[in-house]
Amino acid sequence: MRSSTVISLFLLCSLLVRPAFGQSRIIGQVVDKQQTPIIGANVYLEDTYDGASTDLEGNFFFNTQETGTKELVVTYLGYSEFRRSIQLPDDTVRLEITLREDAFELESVVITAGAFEAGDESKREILKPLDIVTTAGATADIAGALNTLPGTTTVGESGRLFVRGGEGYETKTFIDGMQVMNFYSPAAPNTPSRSRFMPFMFSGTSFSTGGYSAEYGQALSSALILQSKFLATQERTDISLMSVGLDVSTSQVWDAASLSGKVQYTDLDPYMGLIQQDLEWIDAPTAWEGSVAYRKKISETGVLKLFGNFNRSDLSLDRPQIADPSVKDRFGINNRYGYLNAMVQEVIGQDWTLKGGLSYTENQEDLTFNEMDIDQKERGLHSKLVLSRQLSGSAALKFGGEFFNRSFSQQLFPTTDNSGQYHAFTENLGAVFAESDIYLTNSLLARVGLRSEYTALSQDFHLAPRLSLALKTSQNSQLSAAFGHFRQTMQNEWLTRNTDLDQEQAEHYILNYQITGKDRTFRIELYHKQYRDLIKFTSDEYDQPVNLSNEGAGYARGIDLFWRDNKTFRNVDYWVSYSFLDTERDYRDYPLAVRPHFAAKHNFSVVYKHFIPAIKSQVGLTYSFAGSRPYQDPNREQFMSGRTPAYQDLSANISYLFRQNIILHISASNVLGQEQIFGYEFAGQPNENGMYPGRAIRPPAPRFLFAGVFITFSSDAVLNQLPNL
Amino acid sequence: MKFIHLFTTLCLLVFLTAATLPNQYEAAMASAIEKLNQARSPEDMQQAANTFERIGKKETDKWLPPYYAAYAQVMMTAMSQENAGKDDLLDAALANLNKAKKLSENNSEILAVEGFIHMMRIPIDPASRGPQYSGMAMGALQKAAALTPDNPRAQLLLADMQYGMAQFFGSDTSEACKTLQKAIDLFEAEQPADKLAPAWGKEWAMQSKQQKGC
Repeated sequence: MRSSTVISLFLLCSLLVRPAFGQSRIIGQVVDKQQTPIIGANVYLEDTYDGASTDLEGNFFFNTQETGTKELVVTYLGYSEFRRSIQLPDDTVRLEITLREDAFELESVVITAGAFEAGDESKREILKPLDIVTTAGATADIAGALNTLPGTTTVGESGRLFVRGGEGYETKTFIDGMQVMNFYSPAAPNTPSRSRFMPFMFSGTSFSTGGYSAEYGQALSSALILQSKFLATQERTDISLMSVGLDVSTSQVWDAASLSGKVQYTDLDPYMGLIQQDLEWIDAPTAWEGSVAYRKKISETGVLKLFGNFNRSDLSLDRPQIADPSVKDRFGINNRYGYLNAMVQEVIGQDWTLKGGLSYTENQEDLTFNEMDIDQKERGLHSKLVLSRQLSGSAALKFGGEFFNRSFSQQLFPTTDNSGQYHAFTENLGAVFAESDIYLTNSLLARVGLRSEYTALSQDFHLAPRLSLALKTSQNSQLSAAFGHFRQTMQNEWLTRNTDLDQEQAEHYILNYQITGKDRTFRIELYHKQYRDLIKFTSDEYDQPVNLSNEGAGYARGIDLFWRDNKTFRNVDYWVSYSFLDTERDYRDYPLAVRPHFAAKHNFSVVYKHFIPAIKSQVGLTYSFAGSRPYQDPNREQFMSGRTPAYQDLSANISYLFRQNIILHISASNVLGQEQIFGYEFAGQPNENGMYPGRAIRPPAPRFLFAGVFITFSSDAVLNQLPNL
Repeated sequence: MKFIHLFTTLCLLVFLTAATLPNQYEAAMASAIEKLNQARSPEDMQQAANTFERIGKKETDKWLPPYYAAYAQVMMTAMSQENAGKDDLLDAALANLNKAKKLSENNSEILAVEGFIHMMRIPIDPASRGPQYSGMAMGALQKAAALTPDNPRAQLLLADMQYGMAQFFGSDTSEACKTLQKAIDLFEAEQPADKLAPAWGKEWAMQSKQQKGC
């Protein structure tokens, strides 16, 4: 028999046998809602090998020999899974499939009103952790870098974040959701303070200039939400030698845990000795700092974070009296600070995520003013529990509760006879909150939240509603709006005098438009903030506040503009911020509503960073401008009618990669040496001519210079401290 | 008579072959790996990734399907010029790789692809991601190389990392070239355990040698 006959027979057999298996042909097309074909979607019958990918026209076809009821599944990244039961065998199954975009994959609709996000992973971030630490003029201070964003006012004599006509205390900081008390290190009068925490600890930063989540309370103007890093990935030791001190840090890594520690010693005495200062230091700021971070993966989905920071610092100086500079006041601070933070996160069941946290702060500040001693001690405990879940469809839900226990005591006594005054109070505050993200449509997201607080001190119960909306207006742009009520307990200095004072409150209204292209961002934000129940008092003849009440009020409104571009020029990244601020308040002992001393009408800054591969260096420049600020001049008839000159500063820095693991860093503030005047202070009593003598408040030296060498040791020598600078 | 005999024999043979395909898994994998090796565009890679994902959904106890799916997905990002969407794709690749990891612990091949995924995060934003992801990539690749010193893919990816770092810092690329040569030697000597075992990379190593001028 010839082979051709065998083949014919074989084919005949195949034809006879095949129908027994029930051959079906499945064809169709996969498109999105706009009828655009989806290329590369995975189409298959569940629990079988049979399937295909869609082609360039979104078409697919495949054959199957399966029989009975089968599930046809279509999947594509960023789209909800499609399922349909089909009956087999069937000669030809024809399907037209429309995939819906997965609501949670829709990065474009996010709440942006008021918020500046900086994260490693976030795909829509405006600033990255690295940006915070490489900004010239910020000297690796978190607040310093955030002061280049719109909505902030440069208040050089304080160094803190002043947001949208709010005072420095109106910004609260949270680490892994837990409140941080005394975020700033103490500083000499009229010199800038720095935040206590190093930026390298954090993988994400969210700086909200208003309208933030119901999860956060006790902040009138702004929430700075810091996310600490998770597991260290590599064992390494870093050594930094700096003109102001040195530090050593090390990380140990296990399979599911890591431990990092850092010790830092800073002493500004040698620097102050070398560079002429306006201040007469007896002991320039000297500090010891230690921090420990332990991270553990407690299960496939669970996380444990422990963090502790301990700090001890001293400084003392002589300040000439305004009326008679030959007479000097001695001023000193001795500060001991401890912060502990524990956080556990675990997924419960299918959809719920539980987050629990506990933080403890202890801050002891012993101030001396000539013969007078003021000892202040503050302790705070914060506990919090948050449950969250993604609901079916397009919603997310979050709710939880928190409890604060805080005690503050202040003791004033002349060192000679120990007979002094003692003030103390304890505050217990409980809060519950709930918040839900609802996708009204794929392009319209609403975040509805409610927070209620009870404070035992003034026996007050409050409700604070929060609402945000985000509407995607095109592929790259969106419009957001936010509204919210915010409350904050009175400052310690008032509560020690009257514990019946109610909380201060603010209402925020924000409208935001943002365009985010590839490596370019433009945003404009309009806001109005109404202040109520602010502190109000009258000063008695000894300049002591009496008749304290909640009768203060005020407003702040303005426009913030932001532009960032790291595309147009090669190796160049820059951002430009402008803020217009119109604010007035009648609080403290003001006789009428005026613009307060910390508010400049115009704030403008440009941050420029240029990586130059040829010299393996990154060069940074930051220019800041703040319009004139009011000050109270007792020699003028009208209250708060003095105006400082405008403030300008050009800072520069350069980081040079000497080796893969060695970096040299130099930075300088005010390179042009422009005169900077933050305000004026006046003597309490008029002189013989009936005039109050005064003097300008200036930085202690025209420039601040910094130099450092940063060395990293790791198993492969590829790591360096670049992200820390 | 002889004709009828042959006919029934053949029919029986066809029937048996069709009914009890000797090993449907191996056949499907072999054909998918073939497609993967011929893939030259992100679209081809997507097709291959889809096929491996389909097989992986059925064969939930085998590590190779999700491993290859992850490899195909990370290759898609390597072939694409556009940064948009790369992170999502790398997230998906990592999810697949974690499935493989659960089925086969301390596997040098899986760790090598993990290093590859971390590595591909870097070019999306070198300045801010470099320090973190280069550490993670090096960590995974060095672990892969330590587990199986003659895994040429771990050496190939290590060479790529070393070369990228050396270029960024403007330092000597000779160490990277040395590692690449080691990878090539290992590729020459490689005897895959079976036809489904990972065997990709030789062609890439050769091209890489030319491009880097090693």
